[in-house]
Amino acid sequence: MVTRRSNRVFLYLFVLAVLLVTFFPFYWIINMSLQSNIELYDIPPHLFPPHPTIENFRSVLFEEQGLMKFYQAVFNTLIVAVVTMTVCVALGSITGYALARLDWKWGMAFLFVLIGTQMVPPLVDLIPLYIIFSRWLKLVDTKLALVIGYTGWLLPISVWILYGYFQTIPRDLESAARIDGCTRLQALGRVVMPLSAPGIAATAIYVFISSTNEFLFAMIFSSTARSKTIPVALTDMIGKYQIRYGDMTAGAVIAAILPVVLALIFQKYLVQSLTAGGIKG
Amino acid sequence: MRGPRMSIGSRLEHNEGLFAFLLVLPALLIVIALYAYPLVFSLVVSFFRSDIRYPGVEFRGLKNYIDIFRDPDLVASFGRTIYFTVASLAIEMVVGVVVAVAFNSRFIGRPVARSIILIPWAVPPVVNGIIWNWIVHPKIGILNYLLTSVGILSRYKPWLADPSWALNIIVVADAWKWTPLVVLLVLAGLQAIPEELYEAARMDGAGATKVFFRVTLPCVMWPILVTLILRTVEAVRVFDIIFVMTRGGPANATKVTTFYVWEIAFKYHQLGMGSALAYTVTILIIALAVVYYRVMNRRVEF
Repeated sequence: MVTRRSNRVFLYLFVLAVLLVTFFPFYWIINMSLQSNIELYDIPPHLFPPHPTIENFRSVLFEEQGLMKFYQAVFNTLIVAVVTMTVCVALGSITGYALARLDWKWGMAFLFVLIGTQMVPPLVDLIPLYIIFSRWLKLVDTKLALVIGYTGWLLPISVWILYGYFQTIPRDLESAARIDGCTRLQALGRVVMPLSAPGIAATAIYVFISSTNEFLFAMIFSSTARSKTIPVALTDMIGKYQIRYGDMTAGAVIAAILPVVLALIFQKYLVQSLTAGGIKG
Repeated sequence: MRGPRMSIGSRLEHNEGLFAFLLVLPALLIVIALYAYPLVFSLVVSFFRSDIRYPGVEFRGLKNYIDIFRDPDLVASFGRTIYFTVASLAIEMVVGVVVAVAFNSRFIGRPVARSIILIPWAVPPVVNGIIWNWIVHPKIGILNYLLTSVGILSRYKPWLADPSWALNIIVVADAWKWTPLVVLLVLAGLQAIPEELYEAARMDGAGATKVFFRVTLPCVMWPILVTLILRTVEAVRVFDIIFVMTRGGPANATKVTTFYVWEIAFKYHQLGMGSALAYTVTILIIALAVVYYRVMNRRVEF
């Protein structure tokens, strides 16, 4: 712990420097998105937008950007994220509950397998999944393919977070409920679930943000406006519309603002989910 | 009062194993379908030459793997992957631990500070690449402007077009994004250290440095090592930011192995070779994890 006066000053300066470095790049892209295309070319670059305008946002969302409009990408991303989040929370809770609570001899083995899956780079799965989805199931370029892929990717960590959470809920509460005449399922639904709301929130926010930010899988499995997500649409812009800097930076801000705002609002739960793997080890 | 229960209901009530199994079944099926099966499938594919444009496959046994090590570009890509991993991890871990220690002290505005450092984590990797693209932009980037104003540079420099700088810039961008995660994990570990340990040390007359090395560091070893594993595994798999910033250029200077996997499998349509390369990366990751695990078991003493 730092207590001496000079050390305190140094601490504050250090923290300030850290915050500056952390926040500046994020601020910079917002700054750029609010300037007009002409202003963006100015040297020296403007620290603040001289005449703030939202023209870039209007243009990127509603004008054609190479066969699609950006708002379609926003729509796709949101749907995929919400559905994936719901599925992961639902399956994650019942699985996590089973592993945490019930005496099942294969429980530990399954948990071990789940952790093992995190070692596998998504790349190794990508090629077989591509063959399966494109040749056998004909599911390429659909939001469903993305939901399935993302669920598979994010389910293990959802189970892990909720498993850790269920372990903290005292068994007596359920026993009391069952003595009062509930079946197992009722005890699960009426007593355990409401108590694990924070764990569910932690899982939900982690899955949602991971899903909106994912790129590789989305790029390979989507080809048209039907299923392209924000990161993919954004990358498309880089190749094609290099001149319209304003549009690109506005698109980047849209892509970033959603997860950032959510992360700030739900940060308590987010930190829980991020450290779940860390300390419980 | 409830009526007579159906036999399956009562069976569920009494057999915990069955109930657990049923609950776990959906997740189990998903894991098998989306992890186990593709993993095996991928291994099988890696033994063939498979071009997605033409039907039919040609069995090649281990030839794909041998070709990987014969190809100087691919071997070089492993070197670049290792360089990237070591460089970004060095920055992330050192800066991360230092910042975590700083944040462990109480200061005004600490909750706000802790919120702000979440931002880089939440920003999509693709956007991270775009942001840094702009910062190092040859014509309108702020880095060039700052460096020339201060006199360090005499001329605007196209950073990402310079093979010796491109990968390093990407390292910086990656470190910016992930250091906050290291801070969070290490901070959580630091805050779990019971106050009594510090008091005991101080009563024994230990100064600040001694307290740090004898009390703080050992207790935070475990979170640090866990973070190290997590970040290493992620760094070896890096893709998004390279795709957005340099597309593997200039002159292959930033083509790490995962980039080659994507290129070989999806640009040149060689699924067999791509799978073989992906598997090689996986083996590398597993080997690293095993090494870390061994080191952990030796160093962590409580």
